[in-house]
Amino acid sequence: MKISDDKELMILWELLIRQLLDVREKLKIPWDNNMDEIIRNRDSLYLQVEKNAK
Amino acid sequence: MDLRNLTTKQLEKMKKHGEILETLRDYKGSDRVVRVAEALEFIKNLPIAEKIDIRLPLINKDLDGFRCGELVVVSGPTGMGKTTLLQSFTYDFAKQNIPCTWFSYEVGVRDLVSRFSINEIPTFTLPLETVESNFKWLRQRVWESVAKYKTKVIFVDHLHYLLDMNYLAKVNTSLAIGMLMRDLKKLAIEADIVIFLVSHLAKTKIEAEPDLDDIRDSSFIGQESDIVLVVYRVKDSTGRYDKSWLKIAKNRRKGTIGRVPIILRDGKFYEESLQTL
Repeated sequence: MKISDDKELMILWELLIRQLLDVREKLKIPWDNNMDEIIRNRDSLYLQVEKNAK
Repeated sequence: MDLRNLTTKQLEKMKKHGEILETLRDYKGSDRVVRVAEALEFIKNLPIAEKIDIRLPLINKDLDGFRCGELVVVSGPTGMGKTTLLQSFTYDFAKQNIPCTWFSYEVGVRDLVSRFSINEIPTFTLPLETVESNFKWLRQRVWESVAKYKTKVIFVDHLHYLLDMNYLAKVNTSLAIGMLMRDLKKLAIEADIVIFLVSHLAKTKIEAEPDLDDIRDSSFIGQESDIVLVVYRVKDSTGRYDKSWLKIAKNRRKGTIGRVPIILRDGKFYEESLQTL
């Protein structure tokens, strides 16, 4: 699949992170620094996309 | 819109939508939407439709001949030369070795052949029997003549014999004719032939020049055809019929309409001079 713009990329990212959270929850893995890191990275990615859009 | 606030279901829907758009972005089907520049390139590479000329030079010039795939309606009041005009065309086409097939429902094989000058019967093909009110039969015989004789021109005399009157009584006549016209046009394209179709006028006695609106039963006859030719005569001040006219009432490809006085000699029509409308 070809990713044609930031929005499509972000949708895939968002879904991926949610799947990750689901899996962790099913496996009963407690929240840890790795998850904090992932969420931080995601938020900075959103900021970057917003900047690009401007 | 912040994706973080959306539900997973909404996100999945958006992803699916994006995937559909992605597929369409790469769509290469023969019916794909293109820019006009690409369309022009496409047209340039299309095979040029075979042009079929008639001997009436002014009418032929305005029409730029007939093209395979066209549906031509020949109309006019009863007894004013519709069939004779098509017989005249048969001579023209036979001379150019263009194979023609006649479907004459009104008159049988013997009468049709005897309508041509006995000393000069042009080469054409025809079914030994006709089956009325049956488009499927016509389509099969058209394909048979294309397969056997490489037919390029079909004459159908006339439209109302193709219609099933019992069926018409139950449905909207105009719409039924419209559907038939569309089927005929489709047949012309698929078989790569010109179809000449005789159609009657609503008025049998005409005082004025007939037009597209005067064609009997359905406006679809005018709408669905590529060319409409009208043959008629108008009475002069003494109440006698003046000369015959051949009028181009519709010309989808070239747009030019006009009329020309024609005279009949030895079963063939000749032009006098053209009067542009």
